[in-house]
Amino acid sequence: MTVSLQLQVNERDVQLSVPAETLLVDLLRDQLGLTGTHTGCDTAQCGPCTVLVGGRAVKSCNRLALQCAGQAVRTIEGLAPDGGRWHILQELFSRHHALQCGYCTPGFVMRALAMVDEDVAAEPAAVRRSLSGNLCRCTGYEGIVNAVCEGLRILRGAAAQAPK
Amino acid sequence: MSAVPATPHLLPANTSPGALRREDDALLRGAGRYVQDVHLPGALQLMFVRSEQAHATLLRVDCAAARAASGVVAVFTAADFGPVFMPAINPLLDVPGDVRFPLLASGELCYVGQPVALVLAHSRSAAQVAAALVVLDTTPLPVALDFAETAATTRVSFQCGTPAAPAAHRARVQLRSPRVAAMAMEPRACCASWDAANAALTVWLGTQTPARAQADIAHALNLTIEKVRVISPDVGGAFGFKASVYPEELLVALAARLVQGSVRWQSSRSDDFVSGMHGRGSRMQGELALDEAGHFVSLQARLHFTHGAWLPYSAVVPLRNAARILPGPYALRNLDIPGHASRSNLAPVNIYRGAGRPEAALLMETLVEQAARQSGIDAVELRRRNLVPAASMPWRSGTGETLDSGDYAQLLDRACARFGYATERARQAQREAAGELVGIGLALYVEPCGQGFEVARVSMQPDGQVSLASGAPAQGQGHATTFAQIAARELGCAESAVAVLLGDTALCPPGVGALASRSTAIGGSAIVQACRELRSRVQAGEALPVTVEARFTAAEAWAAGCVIVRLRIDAQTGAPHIERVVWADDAGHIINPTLAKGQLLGGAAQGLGQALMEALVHDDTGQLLTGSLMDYAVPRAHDMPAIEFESIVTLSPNNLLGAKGVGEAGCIGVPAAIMNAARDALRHYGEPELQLPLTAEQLWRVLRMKSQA
Repeated sequence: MTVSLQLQVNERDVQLSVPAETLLVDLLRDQLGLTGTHTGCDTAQCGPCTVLVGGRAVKSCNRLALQCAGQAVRTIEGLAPDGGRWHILQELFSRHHALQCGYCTPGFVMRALAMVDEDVAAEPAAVRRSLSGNLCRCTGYEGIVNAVCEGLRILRGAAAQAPK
Repeated sequence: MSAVPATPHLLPANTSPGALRREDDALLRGAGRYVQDVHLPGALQLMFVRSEQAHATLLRVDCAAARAASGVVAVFTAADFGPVFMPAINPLLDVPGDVRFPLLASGELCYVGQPVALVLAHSRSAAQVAAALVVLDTTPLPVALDFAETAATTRVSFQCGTPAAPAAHRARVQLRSPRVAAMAMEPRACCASWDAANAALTVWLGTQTPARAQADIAHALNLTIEKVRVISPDVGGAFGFKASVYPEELLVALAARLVQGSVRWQSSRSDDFVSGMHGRGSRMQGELALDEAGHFVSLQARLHFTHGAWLPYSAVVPLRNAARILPGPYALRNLDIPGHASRSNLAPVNIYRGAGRPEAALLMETLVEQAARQSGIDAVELRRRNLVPAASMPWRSGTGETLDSGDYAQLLDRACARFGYATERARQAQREAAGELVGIGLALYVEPCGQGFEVARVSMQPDGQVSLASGAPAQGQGHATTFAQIAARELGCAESAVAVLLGDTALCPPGVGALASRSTAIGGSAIVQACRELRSRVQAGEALPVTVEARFTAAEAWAAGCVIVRLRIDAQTGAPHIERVVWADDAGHIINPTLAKGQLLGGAAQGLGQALMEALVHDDTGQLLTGSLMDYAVPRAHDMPAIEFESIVTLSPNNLLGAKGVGEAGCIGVPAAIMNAARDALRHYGEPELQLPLTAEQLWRVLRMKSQA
């Protein structure tokens, strides 16, 4: 059974007809060619599929596309569109050597972006706990935690000024 | 700088200013190109039918319903391909007899997850539905679990001196190193495209060894090597898991040719857990004898490794490594180290970060600290009395290995100084007097880092632009960044002038690959050699463009390190808490300290995982119980303690950079130090036989047994 779906992805209106059982991650990757979002498990445990839906972090492997009808979805490709200048989180992740193979990275960056608006202190212990839904096997997490802590401080400080 | 490279793996210098690595830009934008991202229009989706039994006679494979299912193009079994076997293994140890293993099961099912048939369909869901319709007609056979089989597939033996010499103290341990999963974030994936006009094949495969994969695929398809192109694009982690070809990958290639088109396969996390190559899997016994003055008199050990149902290319490496490096940094002259590997009806076991070195460090260092407790000599002092002195390098060990360089005393001293060893011991005593369970454990390890050759090709254009291609690919290590750095330094040009090409057998020279922590030392040295020749030819007046291809062959460089861990065990729950980690590592000359530290941290995380939480568990029928991330624990951000690093540099004389490996050190030193810290914390509980993983449950049971006694 196919369904007609309308939603916003990276600030673009999208209208598609997809099988009802289509997962959000598959819609993004297969229908829209946004392959920056990755799958790493079949139990919604590992996190590289993390995107923003309505500004909140969501595991797109565990959400039907149908459930996102009428909502605004943001993926890693939306952070620095058209090959433009990096988002501050991207810059911090590179500077802090928070990525090696890069597979988990889009999930961590999107998770961090959502965290700006959450009640998570910009300090390592709180950030580590909040990252428990995202696995990394390469880095040992230290660079990621440092990048996210600094990113939260900067983005929360800038919150009153420019939009994210 | 153009934004889009001509081929996916030609990496020019940074397109974003402030990027630490040239790899970062694409990856951070979500523009990384992993195998699943490769666009292959019209490709059929491939799904495997796998054995659900660990051991059975396979009487019949009924594909009729599957073939008739909607969207299905073909269903193939062993009969469709004729006799095709997994490639011959790396003959580092003698493996007598016929150990050939078929790509698809034929007549016998040997492990849960074994590929039996493959379905080709127009969509993943159609392939999945059809795969479930294939019926296997089987008769169960007895299941041999790990270590149950008495016959040895291969043996190793090191004997030296008089192992049974008289001694004042003997420490004995029995240790198990459970199977673990490498758990790279990207599950396996492979695509293949058959070019009928040229009778040639292109394969996209995340692999640590593209040249070998190319040769293996060519052999399986009975093609010459030039007819096969392997492209390893971005790879989401490997750690040894993607170092040797799988039957699935050879079958993707065969299927593409059979249908004269394109085929793609994606594993799932479950499939990787069940049927991917596992790591570790050993049982070890050891005895360390000392004299009254605390000198090591002899080391005896028995090593039993499992290799699972069949032998991947590097199957004998862990056993051999564990045996040959077991004496570690110690001057031990009386040795008896027999070992063997045996088969089981479980998934195959191959190299996984450390590849036998973690097992050796675990056994030796546990013996050393138990011997310290038994003899009443402090564990650091006991080590000091037995180290190979720096002045004795290169050192020929009792197992016939040549340790090229190292200063183990300095490593030990530096780690202890940073840790504040005497103060920490005093504090431990105070806390224990107050009722806490606190342990301090060390691991002093040696780490041989690869040998053999690597190839680099360097070209300089008239405008000064340089391109560099290497036979060593990358799966996150940042090789393109490091290699560009090395080339720029040799050529005296800017890093931004050097473009790096990796992972494509059509465009890169054939090499060995990224394993055994060899890429910087050996791959980097090939680059140095090529650049030096290029520079001298240009300086001699040769007109540009000039291309040089250099092959560098190296004997082993030996890294080493000392990890010290302080650990507290919760007296109520048994939960272990790592309070402090100090780590002095000697990786020789370090080209890029930030990337090296990243490797140390990543290895430490996997080491911590193995020490505290990771284990693949099977039931009596050979079914995997820990088949998903619901049951298999891997470290998360909050599991990682802070690590204090110290760096020692002893240059390796065995390569042009003086470099050694760094990637596997964390897996080698960290679990052994954690084991020792736990045993130290529980030393008043009757020297309990703690095993990995050191879960709260295990430690709690030890506490309860003593309190009930």
